[in-house]
Amino acid sequence: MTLRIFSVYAQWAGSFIICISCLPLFRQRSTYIKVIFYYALSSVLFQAGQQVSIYFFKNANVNQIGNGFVFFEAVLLGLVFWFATEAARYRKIITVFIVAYVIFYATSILFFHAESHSMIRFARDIVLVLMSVGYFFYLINKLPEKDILRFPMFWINTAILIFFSGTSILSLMLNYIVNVLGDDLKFFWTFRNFFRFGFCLMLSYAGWLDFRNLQADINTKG
Amino acid sequence: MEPTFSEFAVMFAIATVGILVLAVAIVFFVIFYQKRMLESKLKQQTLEADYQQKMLLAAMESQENERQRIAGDLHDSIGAMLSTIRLNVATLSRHQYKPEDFQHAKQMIDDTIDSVRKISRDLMPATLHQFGLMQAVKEICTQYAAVSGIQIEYRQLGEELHFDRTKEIMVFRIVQEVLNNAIKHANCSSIEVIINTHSPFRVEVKDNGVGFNLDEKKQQAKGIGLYNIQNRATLLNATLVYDSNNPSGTKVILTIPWA
Repeated sequence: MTLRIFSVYAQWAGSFIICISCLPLFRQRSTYIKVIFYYALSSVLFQAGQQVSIYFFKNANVNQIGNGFVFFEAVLLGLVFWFATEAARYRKIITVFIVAYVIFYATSILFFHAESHSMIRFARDIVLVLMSVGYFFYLINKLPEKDILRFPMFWINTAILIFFSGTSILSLMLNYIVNVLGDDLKFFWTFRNFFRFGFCLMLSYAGWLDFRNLQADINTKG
Repeated sequence: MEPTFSEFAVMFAIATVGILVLAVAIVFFVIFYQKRMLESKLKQQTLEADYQQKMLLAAMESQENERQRIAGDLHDSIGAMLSTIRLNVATLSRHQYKPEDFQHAKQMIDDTIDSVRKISRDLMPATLHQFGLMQAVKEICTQYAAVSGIQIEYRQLGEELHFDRTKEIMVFRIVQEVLNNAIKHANCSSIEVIINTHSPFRVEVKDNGVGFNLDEKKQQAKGIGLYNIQNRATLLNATLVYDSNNPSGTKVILTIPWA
């Protein structure tokens, strides 16, 4: 097994780990944790779809499946922020961002198909980075009473900020890499897959923290 | 000329690392900012709790001192007089008595009644209840001047003003406490009490004494009286300002914005 293939399975496993960390006591979980679960589940399903395409249909529609996941990823992670904030003003801003992205996505796919792989990914990265920086400002104003490191949404936000800012250059240069460097894309994509595995681990930690907090609340209330 | 793979990889790495450093810096900023704000909030809560406790202690001690004073007055004044009256009546009942013997007992009873009235007046002046704050303050200025030998001048600027009885009692107690402090500690020859009823309502007590260090007094056990004054001012939503070198002596200004 090459490092590239290992990285693909590693990030697939990462999505599974998120699902496992968010599943216990699912009904009592915070809404944003439930959305993280659905995000991880969609990641597992889309990646399964890509593997089926690679092994059984000779890579037919692999990119389309990937592009489809990009849409779900942007919308679902946007909804995580929507449910995590209580202020109506911030929710309106998040809604505007999500709607703007959906319109941009549709326009790119329909009218700029050749460049769409790069455009939709870079736009997703920018939207999510902006939402996560905005959420940090919200967190500073809201100032949770307890240690911020025990707050699950802090870790989700950190993971989103670091991962999507780290891969934004790759997203921006994706079309260039494919057209100019060709097969060398696999080196960058391997790095990206391992980076995503780290991203999944951080989201899983947030899911586990939420579960621990919930258990503590249940034990306190008896 | 298109860059080679290695050149592109280096540029990619530099750009990615640069962005990652920025992202991590944001995360660390949020962590340290929140920690600092929490520490500051905790410190403020501790100070407030400490202040509340001092205020409560001051209130309790004041209550105990008042009870002690009343007990002392009752024992020394009323108790002693009633004992003497009892002795007189017992003597009269055993012997043949003349009309002048009853006169002495009657005088003692009158003195006892006067003492009871004085104690009652000190506790709660009837003037405050019947005529309001300004008349009550004017009356204690006259009384304290007679007892202490200090010249105490009362001045009223503006029309007579009345407000809620509880609040009038609190303002009266503040003036009473400030006057007592000036008489006991200021070593002054004159005190001026000014009530200004123009908005905002203001009470000023000025003396020409030795002045004092406010922070030092608050630290000492004797500073309990100052906490009582501050406590009442806080309950009134009023501001209290001490000007302890103006130009010499002390000036206390109580401002009540809502009156």
